[in-house]
Amino acid sequence: MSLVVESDEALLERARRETDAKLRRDHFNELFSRHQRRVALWCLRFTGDRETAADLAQEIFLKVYESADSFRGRARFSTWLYSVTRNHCLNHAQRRKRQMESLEEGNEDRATREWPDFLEGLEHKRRLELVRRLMTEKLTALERKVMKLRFLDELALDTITRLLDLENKSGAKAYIVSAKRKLQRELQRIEASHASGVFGSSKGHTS
Amino acid sequence: MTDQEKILKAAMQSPECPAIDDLLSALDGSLEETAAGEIRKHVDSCLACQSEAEVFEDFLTAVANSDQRQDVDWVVARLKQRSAEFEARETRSRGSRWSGWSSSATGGWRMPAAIAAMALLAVVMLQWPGPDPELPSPSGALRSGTVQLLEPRGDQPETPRIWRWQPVEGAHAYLVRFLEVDGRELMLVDSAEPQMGTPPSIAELLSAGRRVLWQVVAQDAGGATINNSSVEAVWVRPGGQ
Repeated sequence: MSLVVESDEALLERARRETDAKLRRDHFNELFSRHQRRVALWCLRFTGDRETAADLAQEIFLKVYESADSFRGRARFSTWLYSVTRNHCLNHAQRRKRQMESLEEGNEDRATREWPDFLEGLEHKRRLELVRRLMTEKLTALERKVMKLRFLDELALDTITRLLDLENKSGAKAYIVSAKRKLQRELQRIEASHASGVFGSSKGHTS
Repeated sequence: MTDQEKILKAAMQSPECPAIDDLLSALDGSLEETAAGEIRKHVDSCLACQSEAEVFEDFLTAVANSDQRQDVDWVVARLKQRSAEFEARETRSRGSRWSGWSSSATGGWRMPAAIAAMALLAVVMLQWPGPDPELPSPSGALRSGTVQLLEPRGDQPETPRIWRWQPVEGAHAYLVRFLEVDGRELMLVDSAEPQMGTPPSIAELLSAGRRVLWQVVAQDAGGATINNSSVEAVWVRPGGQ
């Protein structure tokens, strides 16, 4: 019995080239068995319920099976699987979001929605640079991750909470509120500094 | 989305962000070095790509905690159960073709491509090693026929000294596979007993904060596989040794 364990990529390549249907299935068996729990866990975290997670996982493996020939080996198989899983789950979330649009809007702390006026006065590029710098300097890695999932990937708060395994009571919402408050506080501080001339000609005024 | 949120979104993203596939290829080390270096440089200054990288890392390394393990077992079992249904449907469909009930000229017996593909997948999934299609019991206990890993599993306060699994009837030897989180094999160890000490190179990896996967294959006297375990991840909690 051979004990040599093939890489995922070699196994997939063998499955694709195999002409015997039974052997081809065996190769896919082995490949999928290496990753099924990983995908199941991801889908569970994404959806929060077992039925939907099972649906998604099934669709993902089907997609991988159907598009196995399009795998070009530019990345590892696990990376490609992640890409398929991620895109499939994001599409699912966005479909769901459209269905449930606006249900959770307004729940995020309204007090953190308004930013100082001076931000509006800045040129767009400068404004982005400033916010980007503050996000890097003032937010934790976890806060940035939550913000990315929320505002770039447009995931629902409960999805982010499960995906990142957040165990605090209010989950992702707490991180969003905290991050926005930190940014707002810093922006207000900067605005106050501008107003009192700290950055301008009044430097060295105290003597 | 409010104006504030639009600013946040724009601030996270950069016009130079690489395509997701290129980003992931750079992260997993399979992209050509010059291009990968450019992307890594970009990631250093891009909040969105840094977060994407972290989420990708989560996917590769996350392991079900004790609360989630039962649900993961359930989902896997559910997949197999559904697959069995597809398989049965496919078998019936094949039977009807063979009996010549429908004419291939009319195509009346043909299943839609998607269903056929699902059926193929069903066959694949049916043959996956692991638990039978029944849903897990509420206790989450593993069914007989699999090798049950006892320790270590998940996060550990310190580098584990012993690796134990449930003995398997008829097993002459056990092969213990240690794997990288992406499935690449690190080491294969033989053991006559249902336990073994920690290999020094594995201890070193764990001490360095790396995650290691392990799996046990039970073999009979002829070297044939009797059964294997699931793959479990082990790592040492930060601050442990």
